[in-house]
Amino acid sequence: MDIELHFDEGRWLKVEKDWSAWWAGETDRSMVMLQTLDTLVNADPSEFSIDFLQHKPSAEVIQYYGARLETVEFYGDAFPKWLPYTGPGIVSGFLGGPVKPSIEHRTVWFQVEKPVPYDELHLNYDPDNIWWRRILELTGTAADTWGDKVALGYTDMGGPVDNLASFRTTDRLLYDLYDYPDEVTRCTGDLTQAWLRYHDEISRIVMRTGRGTLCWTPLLSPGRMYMLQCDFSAMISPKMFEKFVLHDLTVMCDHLDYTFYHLDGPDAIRHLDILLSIKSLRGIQWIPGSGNPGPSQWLPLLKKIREGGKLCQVYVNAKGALAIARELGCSGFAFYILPEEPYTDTELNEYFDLLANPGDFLNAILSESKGKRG
Amino acid sequence: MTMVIKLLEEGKAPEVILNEALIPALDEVGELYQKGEYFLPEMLIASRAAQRGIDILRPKLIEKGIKATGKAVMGTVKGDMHDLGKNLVVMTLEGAGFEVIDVGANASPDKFIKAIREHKPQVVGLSALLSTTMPSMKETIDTIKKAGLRDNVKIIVGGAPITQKFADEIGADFYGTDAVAGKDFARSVVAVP
Repeated sequence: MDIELHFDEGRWLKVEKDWSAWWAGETDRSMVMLQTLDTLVNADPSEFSIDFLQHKPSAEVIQYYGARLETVEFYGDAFPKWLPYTGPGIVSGFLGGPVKPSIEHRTVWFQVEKPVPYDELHLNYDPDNIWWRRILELTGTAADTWGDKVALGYTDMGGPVDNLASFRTTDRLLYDLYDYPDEVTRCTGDLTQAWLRYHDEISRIVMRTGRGTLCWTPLLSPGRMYMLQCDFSAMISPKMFEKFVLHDLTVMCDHLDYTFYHLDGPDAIRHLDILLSIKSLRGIQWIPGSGNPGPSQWLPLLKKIREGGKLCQVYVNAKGALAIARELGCSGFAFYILPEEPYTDTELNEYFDLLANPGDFLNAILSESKGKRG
Repeated sequence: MTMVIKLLEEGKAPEVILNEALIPALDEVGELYQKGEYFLPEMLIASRAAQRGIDILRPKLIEKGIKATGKAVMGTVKGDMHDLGKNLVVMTLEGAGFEVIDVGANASPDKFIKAIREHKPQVVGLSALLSTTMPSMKETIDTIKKAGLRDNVKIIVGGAPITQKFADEIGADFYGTDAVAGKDFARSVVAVP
């Protein structure tokens, strides 16, 4: 089945070249991603549904998402992409954890009701798990159907410590760091190895497109990439981060080709020095968090990330991207242009105006790149 | 817990152990937490230890007719299953000598109303971790008003997406940036120094 995208081979060659240069630090300009919202074709309120993704034939799922992709316009360094999504951190599900969709809140809960005892926790790669088989099937069907027209991404796998919280509950895991430190280390080690195995298997499929890889943040990478995370770490000290997170994170960075770290909210900033010390970690994504000022209000933090030798990606509105570019330079930044909270009428209207006429903004940010280094 | 038992065996009065040992110890933990030296695991471990001590003291305090410092109803609002923040506030308040009625997570406004009517707390605490469940906080406060109970309680709100601005907009009395701030406010409501 063919797919008719607003994106031709010439544009593919350019984005692949430009993204590769960005990863290698061989360009002074920032990467800028801007795309129109996909139109829901035959909009179905149950679209975000585990049943939809589990029981519908994969060909129908891919056809549905293909039709949506065909409505999208891609600007700047944006490109056609897709990944199967069954919630944030599905590796828990791959290993037998609960998978509970909430259509009302458009998310999936993974946590058990009661902590699983450590003597029952053996978190090893399971090739027969139904969620794992489904992700393989959907990703494979997408690769077979769309060929090299769409870049495919890794499903949202979460991180080992967050995955462990799914089996122990977040509350209990906070106590476990003191009550059962050796068990925590054992389980996160096993989870890391399982996680990497799942990632390797998905890599074999997504790389068939020949378009590189991406994940839920679309940083197109010429090799195996991922946005690593430990949301749990917002609740612990740097000393605990060093004890329970750093080793496995480094193993993951060393194993993959292109890694970023999802730095989520002000409480995660305390771990930045440790993150900057990981040589094989390529970049940091900064997410200010709901209720906090947008990325352009965090210039010292962004500067520290760049001066620490890491690439930096943010979700930011057009004004914010220009502000960052003017103050810190463009080199090493990737701006995904979206409206910022609060979603006032002004904010949303400016975003829709930008989508209707992106040329001035794209030229403005390109001109910031000329002759400047970040 | 071992220390509490030892002090009781030495003849120390239960209210002395509570007011001169457990509560000051938890206050110190709270200060270290607010300074950014202690974090959630340390707060939880300390609160658990204090709670176990209080469980031993409680029957002895009741026997002596010593009442709780105050009473609070705590819950995570409707639609939100997160309860870690709420649980920490519950333990912190209990560590400060409060009797806490925990209405749990995903608590409807009616659940809060029922608890307020039954237990007559001085303080009601609402927790939310999702920006999508923040409207439930307003709904809960509005329901408390409609039930004619608003003037009977002081309402604290807290959680990751909550801001002072939001707290003011929905008519809360206090925005708790963390469990310790919430405890300090609750103490001020019942006029404990």
